[in-house]
Amino acid sequence: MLHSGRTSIFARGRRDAANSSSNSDYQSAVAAYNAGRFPAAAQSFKQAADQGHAESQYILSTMYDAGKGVPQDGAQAALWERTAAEQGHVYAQANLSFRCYSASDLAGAFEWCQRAADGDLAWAQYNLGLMYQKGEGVAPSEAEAAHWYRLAASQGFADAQQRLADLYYLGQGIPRSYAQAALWYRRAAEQGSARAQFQLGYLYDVGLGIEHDYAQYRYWTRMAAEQGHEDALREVNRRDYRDP
Amino acid sequence: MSSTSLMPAEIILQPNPNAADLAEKRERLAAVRAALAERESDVAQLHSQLKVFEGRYLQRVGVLYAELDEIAARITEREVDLYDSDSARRRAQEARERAQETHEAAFGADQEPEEFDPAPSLKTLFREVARRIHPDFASDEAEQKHFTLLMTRANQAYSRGDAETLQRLLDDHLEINAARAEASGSDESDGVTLLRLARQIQHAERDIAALEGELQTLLGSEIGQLYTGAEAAQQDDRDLLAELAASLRERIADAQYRLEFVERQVSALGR
Repeated sequence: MLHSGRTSIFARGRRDAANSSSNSDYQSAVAAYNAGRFPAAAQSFKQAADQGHAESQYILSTMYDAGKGVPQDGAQAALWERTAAEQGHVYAQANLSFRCYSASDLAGAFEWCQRAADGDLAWAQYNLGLMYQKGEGVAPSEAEAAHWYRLAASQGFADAQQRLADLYYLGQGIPRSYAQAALWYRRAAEQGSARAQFQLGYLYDVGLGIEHDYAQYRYWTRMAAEQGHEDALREVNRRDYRDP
Repeated sequence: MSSTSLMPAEIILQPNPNAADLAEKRERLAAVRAALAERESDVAQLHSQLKVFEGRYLQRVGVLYAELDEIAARITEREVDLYDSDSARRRAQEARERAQETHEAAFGADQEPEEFDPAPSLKTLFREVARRIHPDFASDEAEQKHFTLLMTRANQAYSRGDAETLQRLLDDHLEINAARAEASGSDESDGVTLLRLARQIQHAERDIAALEGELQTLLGSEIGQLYTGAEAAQQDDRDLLAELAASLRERIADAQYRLEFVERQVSALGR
């Protein structure tokens, strides 16, 4: 009678229900937190966490990490972070990945990063791309790196946009395309990425992937220089001497 | 008395237990059987409540999971259009399989009543059981009541193809009758009656324990936990399924937005 093929659709509902924002302990915890009553907030988050509320487990782990409302306790932080991560909480998965990475557990870092990336977290998609590119916790693959950068870039993650543009520019992992490189550098540049601004300026200067445009070249190089980008600073100094 | 007798020695040595002992055992059997009947009705009730709840869940929430997974699958497929790679294709394929599974789980309800075609051995077994415990053959009113209950259980076991339960019903009956056969010809002696009652009590207690286990399994299952949660929420005037549906609709709206975003990118690239 209890159809076995349905178990997973029931399990999803039960998990989502257990993590509902209407959990009363969670609600009072949030109210206490917003009122700056951190010890009370930690206590209520703990109650909800004990009931399996993933968001509460995650917040509790960050409070233990920061020593906010509770004495700082790395072991408790790690414990609640892992509990939430195992329940599929993507931020907890990302934090756990970072915790593994800091402890030089690259395989663990990769595995949790992968799970958070599959959960559509842009930060994790970007970092997974980095791990693929550097071969950390996984065999290096620029094609995989490009894939994950692109997913994060599509979500507007500036660093991923700039990295993806680099791969297009160099033709690494994906066929070289200056037009695509220019497009992604522009998106990252508009969000203030210095390296992307400098690169975009360069593409305008030499007319790669976009029409040569001296004004645009000057504008983006100066933007990058203002942020202290070294190549851009050198470029601007040389240009000011030649073409003030 | 044959050497294959099932009777323990101490009962043979005490052929005339006092009447109070007999009365006490009879009373105890009646009480245990009453408890058993109650447990059976509890389990049957929970089964039907879960069945109803399952239908409501699939209709109000399951279909939304199916919709969400369908959009997620389309997003990953459009991402392949946008940028083809092994990992993009793998992701798309996984998402499509998941959407398919969820769709079948949410909408496959109608296919369920399978054609009932019991194996010949099961038919034979059922007949064996039925002709022994038919209420018409009961010797008194108490037994008739009990046979009715056994018959219901046998019918349910038969319809779900549960040979194990049918076999147990048959074994129980044979065991009780073996005791009666010891007193063949004459009326059942007090010793034999006492033994029979003890076995019947034992059978009932064993069945209660089994039902207890079934109840716990049902309540511990995913749908059972969801049901318990929904009942608890109702105590606080909350509608758990409505809450789940509302949060799913939000997630569907988010996914829809992401799908449109990817589609705009695809058409911008002219692919």
